[in-house]
Amino acid sequence: MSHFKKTVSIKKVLKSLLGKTKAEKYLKGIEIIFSNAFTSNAMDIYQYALVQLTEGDTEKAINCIVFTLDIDREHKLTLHLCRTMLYGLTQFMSENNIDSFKQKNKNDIDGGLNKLRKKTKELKKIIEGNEEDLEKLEKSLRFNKSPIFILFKKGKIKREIQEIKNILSSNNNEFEKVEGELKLVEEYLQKEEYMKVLGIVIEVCVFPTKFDPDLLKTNFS
Amino acid sequence: MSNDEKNKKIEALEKMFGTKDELKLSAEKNNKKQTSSNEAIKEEVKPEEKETTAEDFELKNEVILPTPKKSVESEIEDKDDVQENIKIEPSKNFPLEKIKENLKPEVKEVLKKLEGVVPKESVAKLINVMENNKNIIFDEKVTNVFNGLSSGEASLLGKKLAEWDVPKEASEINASVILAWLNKTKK
Repeated sequence: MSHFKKTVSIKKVLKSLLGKTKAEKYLKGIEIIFSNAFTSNAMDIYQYALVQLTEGDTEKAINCIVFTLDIDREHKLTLHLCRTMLYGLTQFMSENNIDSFKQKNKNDIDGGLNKLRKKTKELKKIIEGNEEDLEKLEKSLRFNKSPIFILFKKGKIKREIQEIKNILSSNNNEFEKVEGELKLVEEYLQKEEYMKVLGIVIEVCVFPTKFDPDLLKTNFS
Repeated sequence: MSNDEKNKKIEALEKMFGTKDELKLSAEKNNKKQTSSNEAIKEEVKPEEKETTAEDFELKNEVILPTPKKSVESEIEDKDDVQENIKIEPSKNFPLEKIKENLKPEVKEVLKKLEGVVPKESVAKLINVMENNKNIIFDEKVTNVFNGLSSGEASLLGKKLAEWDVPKEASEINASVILAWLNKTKK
């Protein structure tokens, strides 16, 4: 049995599975920070990953995880961090009931997202129209002081103003609801991408021969 | 360490890994195999990508010593016997149970701030999910990350993930950071 254990580069696998453009944001930057002072070690990079996560810089944190595991495939803290990240994301998905949105849109998340975006645009336009109408009516009420107007039209205009205010309030509520759903779905899609990347990292660590069948021959030659 | 102790340690290492000559031969064998497969691989590198990358620090032959014996690696006196281009720094040898003490001051500060922000119950909840609801990551209603795995592979993956356990203190640190991150990335 060989005394050496060959490993598969997680970086290369990510590039090949996600495509170079998509993978790049998770793979560049960290090596520049740690390259000149290679007294850095896996522990340093792990700590840097922790800081990036607290600052909300997910791509850099994943970059650290990939970099560390490509150097030290058995760095326990980084492996545990990767696992915790995946479980945290899964918990988020579960608690936000993404499944109901998926079912509502027959699993077509992108289609569902486009519908929401279209609806927010439409509602925004309607609300703008409502606000313009309201302003016109309020202006006419403020500046028209003729007795005939006051006798015959003021009451009607006041009722119209109230009607428009009700419609506007209802449309604003609808807009907030749709916008909230849109933000959640966008967040979901982003987090789903992170999960995909972490899933690949974990699979490479657990099933390296899946990504390089030659590994099996080399490690057991 | 006395010379006797040193010699005993080297003997034990040689029993585990083989003698220096055996290691050298095995490494040369692997090198030859890797060189021939590397020749078949052509990687496109744009001029602007000629900066130092992680690959410069990976082993040219993607071969590493088994890491559980990393502390042992430092015992090997003659570094010429180690593969070319190995640039691994052995991880600092401190027990994971005392991780908090050994973190950098700036990281300690960040974690201290988190203590006031991330509720302990949430940390405990996430840790509990990892221990007692491990299969949630295979639940298709929640996520399809591992949909492509067979049931055997999923089972093996689950077992491997369980091996990535760390002491409670380290686990809580990771969980707090992840929860803070999830909050930060909320839209």
